Amino acid sequence: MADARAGTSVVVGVQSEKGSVEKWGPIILASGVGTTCPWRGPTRSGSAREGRGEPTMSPNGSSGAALGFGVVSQGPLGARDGLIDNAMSLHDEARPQGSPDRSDQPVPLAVDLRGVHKNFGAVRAVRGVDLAVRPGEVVAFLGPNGAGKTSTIDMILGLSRPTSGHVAVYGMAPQQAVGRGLVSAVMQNGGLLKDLTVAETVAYTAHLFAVSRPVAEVLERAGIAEIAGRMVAKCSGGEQQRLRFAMALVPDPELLILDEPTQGMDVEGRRSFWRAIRHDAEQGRTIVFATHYLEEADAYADRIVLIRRGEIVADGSAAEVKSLASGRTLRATLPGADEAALRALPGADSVEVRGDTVLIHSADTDALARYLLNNTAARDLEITARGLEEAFLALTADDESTPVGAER
Amino acid sequence: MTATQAALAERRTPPLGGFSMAVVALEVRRLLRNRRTVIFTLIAPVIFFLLFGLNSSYANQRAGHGNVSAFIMISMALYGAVLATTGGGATVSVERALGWSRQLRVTPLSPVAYIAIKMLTSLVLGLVSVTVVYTAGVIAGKPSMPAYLWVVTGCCVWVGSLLFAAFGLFVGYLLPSENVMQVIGFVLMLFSFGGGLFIPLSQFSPALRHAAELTPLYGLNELVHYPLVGGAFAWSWPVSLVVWLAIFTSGAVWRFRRDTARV
Repeated sequence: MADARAGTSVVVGVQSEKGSVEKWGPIILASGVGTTCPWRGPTRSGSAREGRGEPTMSPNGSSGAALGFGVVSQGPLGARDGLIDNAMSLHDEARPQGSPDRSDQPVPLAVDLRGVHKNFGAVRAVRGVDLAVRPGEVVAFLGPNGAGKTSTIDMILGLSRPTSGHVAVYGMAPQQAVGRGLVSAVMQNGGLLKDLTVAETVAYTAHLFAVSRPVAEVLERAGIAEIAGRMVAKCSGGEQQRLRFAMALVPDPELLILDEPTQGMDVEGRRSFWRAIRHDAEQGRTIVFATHYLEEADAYADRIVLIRRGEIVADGSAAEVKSLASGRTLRATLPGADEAALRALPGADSVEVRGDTVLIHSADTDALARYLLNNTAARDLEITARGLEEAFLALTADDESTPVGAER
Repeated sequence: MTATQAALAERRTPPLGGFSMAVVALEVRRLLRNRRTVIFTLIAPVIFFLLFGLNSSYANQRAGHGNVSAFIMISMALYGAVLATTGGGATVSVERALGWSRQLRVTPLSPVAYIAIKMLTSLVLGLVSVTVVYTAGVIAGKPSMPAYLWVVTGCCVWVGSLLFAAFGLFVGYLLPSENVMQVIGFVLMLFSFGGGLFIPLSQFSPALRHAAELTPLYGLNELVHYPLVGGAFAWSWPVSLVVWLAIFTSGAVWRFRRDTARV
C-alpha cells in the first residue's frame, strides 16, 4: 500500500495526556489539497506517515504546512446545509481528473443521506447523518464498533428504513437501486451456502440479476478463479470474503459497499483482499467501505468520514483527517477571551473557551503560542501533542454516559 | 464505469422478482448433494416400501380398486414427498438464520420469488421421491391397481405434500440450525405413524386411534388413498388438513414476525 504514496515523512510526536483531549464539534475539512485516492492518481500532495505510538518529537509545525490543509471549523450543528455543500465543494476541487462526462450529463449523487436518524427502541444508532457521495469517490466510514456504521449502510442498501430522514442512491430509493444492480455490497454478516461450490454461488447470484457479468470474469477479478470448483465449506475466511466480493461484482455495480470487509482476516488475507478491491477500484467504481481500522481508511480511501455515536464528526480527505487528528492542543489562561477573534487566527482549527481557559487545536501551535504571548494576556500555556491513534480515539471515543448507538 | 444518466437508465430489474429456473436447478443439485436429504427423502421410503409393501401374507389382498401393496406404496410415496416439502420449507428459515437471505436481499430477488424457488425445489424433490417409490413398485411387481390410478394417486401425493412446506417453515424458524433435517425426520416419522402410513389405524386401540386421527398426516393420508380405496368419504379428512395447514401457517407467520428484526 505504501508504494503508491510519495512525499516526505512527517513524524508526529506523541506525548500522551489523555486528560487534555478535547471534544470537538463536527469539523468539515474543506481544502484544495490534492486528495485523490492513493491508488488512483498521482495528485496527492505530500502524504504524511506517522510513527504510531512512538514517542518521537516532530520537526516543529511541519505537518500542517506540508499538507497545506485549511480546516474550517464549524461549531454548532446548525450548519447542516453548509455541511453538505462543503463536502461537495471539497470533492469538486479534490478530483480534478474526475469523469469528463459529468459536466454535460449531471448524474445524481451515488449516495445522498439527509438528516437520517435510526432508532432501535431507545437506542439512537444514527443521529442526523448528512452525507453526499459523488460518483467515483472512494469513501471510508471510519469509526469504532457501535458508531452506527452498519446501521447507516443497512439504510443505504434498503435493508432497513430510517426512522426519519431521506436516503437516495443514484436518485432513487435504495431497493430500486439494488433491484437494478446499481449498488451491491459485501456485508459483514452475510451467510453463504456451504454445499455450493464457489463458481455455483456466483452463478446463483448471476441468475438473479437482469444483466450480469460472466461468472469466470467475476471470479478472475475477485482473485478466486483458481478455487472456482471448491466447496464453500472448504474455503478459508478470506476466500469466503473474496467470494462475497465476487458476488457483489456480478451486476457490475456503479456503487460497491463494503461493511468491515476484512474483519477476522489474518494479515495475508487482508492484504490480498484489498489487492483485489484496489484493482477493481482502478476501473473507477464508487466505493464506500466501513472500517474501524485507521490504517485501512488511510490507505484505501480518498475521503474519510469519521463517525462517532451515530454522528459524522469529521469529513475530508485522508490527509486532512490525519492532519486534523495529528495536530496539537494549546491550552492557556486568558480572561475575557474573544472566541471569534481566536477562531480567526491562522491555523486555529477549533477553539473552545471555558471560563478563563482557552483551548485551541491547531497544526501550528508554535505560531499560536507566539501570537498569544506577544499580543494577549494569555498565560500558563500548555501545548499537548498527541499521537494519531490517540487523536483518532479522541475524535471517535464514547465519552458520554448516555446510551450508545448499537452497531446494528 | 463513470455513470452517465443513459447508463443508469439502461439498468433494469429482472422479471418475476428475480425468479429463475436456473436457480431452481442449482437448488436441486444442492439437495441431491446432501447425503442426509437423499437418504431421508429418496432411499428411506423405498426401503420402507420394500420392507412393508411386499410381505406376501397381505400384499396381494384386495384394497379398493387395487391391492394392499399398492396402498402401502402410496403411503411410502407420501412419506417421502412430505419429507421433501418439509425439508424445503425448513431451508427457507434456516438460510435466513444463517444470513444467506440477508445476502440475497442485496440482489433483486424478491422474498416471494425466493419462497417460490424453494417451493418449486421441494416439489421437484417430492416428484423425484414419488417417482422413485413408484418405480420401485413397478420393478417389484407386487402393487396392482388400474393404470390411471397410478397417475392420479401419484399426483395427489405430490401436490398434497406441498401443504407440509408450511410445517417446514415453522420448524425451521423454531430450530434454525443445519441439523433441523434430523429433527424433521424424527417428527415426521411420528406423524406418519399417527397418520396411518406405516401401520393401519385399525390395528390401534380405539383410544390411540382417536388420538392418531388428530395428528397432521391423518387427513392427507386418507385423501391420497381415497381414489384407490373408494367407499365413504369423510369430511373430517379435508377439515383435518385445513386446520393443520392453518396451525402451521400461523405458527410460521408468528415466528417470522418475531424474527424480522434480525433480517
